[in-house]
Amino acid sequence: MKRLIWGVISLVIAVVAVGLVVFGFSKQQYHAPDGTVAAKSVGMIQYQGKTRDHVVLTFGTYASAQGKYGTMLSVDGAPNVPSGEVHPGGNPQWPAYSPSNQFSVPAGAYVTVVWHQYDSGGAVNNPYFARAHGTVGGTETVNGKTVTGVDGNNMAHTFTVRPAPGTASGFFLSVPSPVSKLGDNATNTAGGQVVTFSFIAGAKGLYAWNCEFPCGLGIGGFGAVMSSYGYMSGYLHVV
Amino acid sequence: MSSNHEDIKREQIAETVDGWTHNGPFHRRPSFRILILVILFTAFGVWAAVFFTDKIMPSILSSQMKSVHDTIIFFTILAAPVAALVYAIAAYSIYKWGHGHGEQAPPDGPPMRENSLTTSIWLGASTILVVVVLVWGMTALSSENQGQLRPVTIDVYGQQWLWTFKYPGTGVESNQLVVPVGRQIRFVVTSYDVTHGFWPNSLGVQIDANPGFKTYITADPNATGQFAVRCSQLCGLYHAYMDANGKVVTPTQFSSWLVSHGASTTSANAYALGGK
Repeated sequence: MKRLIWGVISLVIAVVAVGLVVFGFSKQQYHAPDGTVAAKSVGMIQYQGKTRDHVVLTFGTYASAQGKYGTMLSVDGAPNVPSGEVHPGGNPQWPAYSPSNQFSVPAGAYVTVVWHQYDSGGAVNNPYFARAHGTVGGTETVNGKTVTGVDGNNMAHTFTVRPAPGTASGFFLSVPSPVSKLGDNATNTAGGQVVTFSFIAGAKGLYAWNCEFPCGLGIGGFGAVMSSYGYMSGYLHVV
Repeated sequence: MSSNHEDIKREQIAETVDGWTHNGPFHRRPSFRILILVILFTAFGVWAAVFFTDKIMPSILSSQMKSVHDTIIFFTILAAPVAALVYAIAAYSIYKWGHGHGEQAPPDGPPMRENSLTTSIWLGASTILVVVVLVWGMTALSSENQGQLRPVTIDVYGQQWLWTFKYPGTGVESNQLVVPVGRQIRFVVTSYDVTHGFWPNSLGVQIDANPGFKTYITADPNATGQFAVRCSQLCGLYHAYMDANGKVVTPTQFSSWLVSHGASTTSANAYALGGK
C-alpha cells in the first residue's frame, strides 16, 4: 500500500510538473489580436479556363506594434478595417503585421491581397526577395502601378508563404513591399503604400508565412522581432 | 477416448514437461539461456536493419546516398549482436533474478578475477569491430567530394528561413533545387545570416552554410525523383519550416526547366548539357 501511495504521489508530481511547463509555454505563445482573419468573398472569377472563388484578403504592416492602425481600404476602396490596435500589448519599438498574423483562404481560390504598408525599411540581404514570386503574372502593384518587384535597397517587408515541410505541393509565394513614403520617420497612420497582388491558393492545409526582410536586430537582422512569433510571422490556413 | 487413456496421456505430457524442465536445454546454465536470447535478438536486429531501413530513410537518388544507406545497414548489423547481448542479459536478469517487494535482495556475487580468455575475446572482438567500422566509414567518406571534370555548379544560399539556389551563367534563381541526373553537382554553400545546415536528403550529402564564407560539397545523382532540402542546424523561429522541394531530372528536362525560369536556350543547354 505504501508503494502504491508513493507511486500515485510521484505521478501527481510528474503531471503537475508537465502541466506547469505547458502552462509556461502557452503564456509565451502569441495570440493573434483578432483571431484568424478570413478572406472576404467577392464573387467568382475565370482564371486559366477555370471558374474560381475570388476572395480578398486585407492586412497591413506598421511601424509600431503598439498603437492604432492607419485606415485599411478594401480592394474597391471601401473602408475595410476602420480602426484597431496593431498588436495589443506589443513592443512599441517593433513593427508588426495587423490585424492578425493568422489568415485563412479557401483552397484553390483566386486570392487578391490588399496590403497597406506603413513601416520604414532598408536594404534586403538577398535580392531574390525584392521580387515577386508565385503571384498571378509574376507581378504585384504598388500604388496602382504594376511591377515585378521593388527597390531592394528601399524595401520594408515581404509576405513569404510556404507549405509545411514534407508536402510536395511546391506552393511558394513571396511578395515584397516598398518603404513608407515617410522613410525612417514612418508612423502607423501616414505615408502608407498600397501593394496588391493575386495568387492561386494551394491545396488544403497549414502554410507558414514570414517576412524575409531583416527588420530585426542581431546577426543578419533576424533577432528580436524576427525571432518572436506573431509580429513578422504566422500561418495561412487554406481551408 | 476412455478416462484411463486420458490419465495415461496426462502422465506422458507431465513426464515430457518435467524432462524438459529438469533435464532438457532449459535446465542448463543461465549462460546457455542467455545465448538463446542473444541469437533471437540478433536475428531480430538483423531482420529489422535489412527490412526497415528502406522504410525510414529518404529515397536513394545518388551514389553518395547509396553509400550512406549501405553504411547504415552494415553498421546496424554489426551493432545487432552487441545490443542483443546487453538486452538478453538485462531481460534474463530481470526475469530470473528479480525479487519482489519485501524480499531480501540476494547477496552480491564473488568479485570477478582476470580471465584471459574472456579479456582476449572482448578486446579482440571490439578491435575488429572498430577497425571494420573505421575502414568502412573512411571509404564511404572518401567517395564524397571526388571531383569530376565539368561538374554542374549550383550556388546555395541559406537564410532564415528559406533556401535559394542560383544557377551561375544562366541568370536563374529559384527556391526549388533542380539538378540533372548523370552529372556531378558541385554545391557552393553559404548563408546570409546565421549558420544553417544544407541537407538535400536523398542526395546523401550535408554541409553547413556559414555566413561570410563558402563551403563545398559534391553529389552524383544517378536516378530521377523528388527529394527535400532541409536545414540540419537549429537556426531560429521557423527552422522547422526551412525546407525546399528538390528534384532530379533528365538533362533535357533540366535545360527546359532553366529556360522556363528565364535562361536563354543557349545558356541553358551549355549549362545543363556541357557543364559550367
